[in-house]
Amino acid sequence: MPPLRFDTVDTALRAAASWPDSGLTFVDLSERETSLEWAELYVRARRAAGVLRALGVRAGDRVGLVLPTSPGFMDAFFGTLLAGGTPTPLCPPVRWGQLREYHAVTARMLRTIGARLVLTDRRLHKVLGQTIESAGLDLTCHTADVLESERDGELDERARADQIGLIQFSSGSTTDAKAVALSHGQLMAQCAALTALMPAQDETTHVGASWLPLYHDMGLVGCLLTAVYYGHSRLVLIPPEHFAARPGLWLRAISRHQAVVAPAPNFAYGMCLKRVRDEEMVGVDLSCWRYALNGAETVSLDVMRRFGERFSRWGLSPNALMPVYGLAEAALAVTFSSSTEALLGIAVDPVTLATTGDVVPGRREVASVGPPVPGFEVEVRDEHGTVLTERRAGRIFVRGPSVMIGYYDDDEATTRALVDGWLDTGDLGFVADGQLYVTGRVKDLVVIRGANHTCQEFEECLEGIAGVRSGCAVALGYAPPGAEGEQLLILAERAPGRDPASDPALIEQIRAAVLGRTAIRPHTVHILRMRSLPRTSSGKVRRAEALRRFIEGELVIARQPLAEMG
Amino acid sequence: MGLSDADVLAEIQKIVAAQLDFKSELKLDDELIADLELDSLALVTLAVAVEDHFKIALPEDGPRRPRTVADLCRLVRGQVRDTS
Repeated sequence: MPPLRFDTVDTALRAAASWPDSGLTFVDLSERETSLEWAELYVRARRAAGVLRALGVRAGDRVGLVLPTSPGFMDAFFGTLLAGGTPTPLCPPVRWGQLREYHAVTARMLRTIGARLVLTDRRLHKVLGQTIESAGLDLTCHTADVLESERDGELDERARADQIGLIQFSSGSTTDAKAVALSHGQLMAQCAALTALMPAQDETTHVGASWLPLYHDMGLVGCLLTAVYYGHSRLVLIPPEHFAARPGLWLRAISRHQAVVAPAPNFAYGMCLKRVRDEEMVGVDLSCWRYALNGAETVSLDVMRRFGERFSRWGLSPNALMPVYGLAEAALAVTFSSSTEALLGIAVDPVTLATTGDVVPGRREVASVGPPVPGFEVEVRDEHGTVLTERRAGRIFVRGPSVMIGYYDDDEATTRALVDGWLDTGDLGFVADGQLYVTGRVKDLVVIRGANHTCQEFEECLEGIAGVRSGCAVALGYAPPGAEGEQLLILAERAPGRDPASDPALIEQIRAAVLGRTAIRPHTVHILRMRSLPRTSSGKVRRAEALRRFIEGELVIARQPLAEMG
Repeated sequence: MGLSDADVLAEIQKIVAAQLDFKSELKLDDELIADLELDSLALVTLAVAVEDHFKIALPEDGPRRPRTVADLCRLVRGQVRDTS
């Protein structure tokens, strides 16, 4: 277990503030840059803490943050910490999306943590005001610019290692997200492990580049808090919405600042392949990029290999491509690719894997996400809790110094997830030659661009559609050949008496319903004959089996000429 | 001198083709979500690309959000007029 240099986030920040030429660099869409050194960030945070105290934030209070990547986010986040509070970054609304779901989900989160107040920016202030008002929540909403006021003096509280330093909403699913409570000690243990895996070189500044949202663990803990922990560091930050519009910004920033580390989920590597033009890469040098980490969703070896091949032209080393695995409940990383071995994969037979759990050669290639992070242990267990040997698939359990305190305000869920310090990840996989391979999720979530959606979330959208047999539609995640990562598949049984000739219209209705309510576009929608979906004895659809049959071509998709009888 | 609806539509058509891989012809009454099937990633990409192209700031959310292509054109014309 790597020793901790700091036992709390604020201690790490005070140490970082003493490093010259270290801190954050924000990059905008036109590649103009503004810097915020740690020393200045620390001053601003103390001031912000004074304002927050004046606004009513007391030690232990939770503060909701709905802010874009910006200096204002830093004021809010570190200001909350220095006021003795617990920052809880939340996802902002989908730009131009429908807000009804957003209000409900966000209000639920704010209620769960018992937020004292919400900090947001001018553009979102009205929306958050509506969220709070429509839910009848008793809390105030302020814009982050109030934190710049000097009227309220400064605060510089010192946290304890066992105090909650961060609450992160995790993916159980986007609609059922749980509040992961992490102590300062747990956060620092994660940073210690990451800095041990990616040691700073000599006296040089450790440089990272990230476009990741700061309400997600990979960006917040993996990039921001870890950069603070390094101290002698530079973290280049691109707002996620700018990466979406111009993925090339990220690669150019890595080159311009000679970043050593830049993590992203699999879909981002695919986006770079598809949308970054050669012209944008003129003069770009990626040879500095030692740690091209891929985590937060299923790793596609195909995407990584193509990314490595294309960008080798600009100096990217194939050894830089490193899948990693982790979860918010462990603060972030649990396994991390070995730096001496390039992308590892094992081709397994999916049917055997699904039925007996044995790993035997076949055509489904699964990527290694590496051995456990220093200080961590990983076990694969069967449904009875028996530890399995290598090459036997089962449920992944982990234990280590950054595993959470628990879910805030949900003791029952905590008891289910944490047993004797072992965390049930909810993921399925196997170990081979000391490396972990993740094969799926126990609860059948659909992970789209790193967000864990439940199947139910999509299926609910189909309830009101007359052409779909009630309760007979299933949403699944699958990776179609040639697609960049996991996509949404909808299989729906036709309602009795419906003419198969109207299937195209029904498919359009389904697409519109799902997209309208979830802002996710289904990749594939198929209408099935009644009673096509496999079910359990109690009538529940067997998802894994349905997916397997779909992939194997065993589900009859073609239109049925015979009349359907109810 | 201002931008006509046709000018704005032509520019947005180019943006949508370049950034979102969308080659069909846009109609003014096309709904962004219902007809063009823009998901959350496409919506934010479009918003940022349009703002960057015209050098304007478009409203974030709420009742003023653009639902149709016509809404978007009108918003753009309004902002461009304000800043010119």
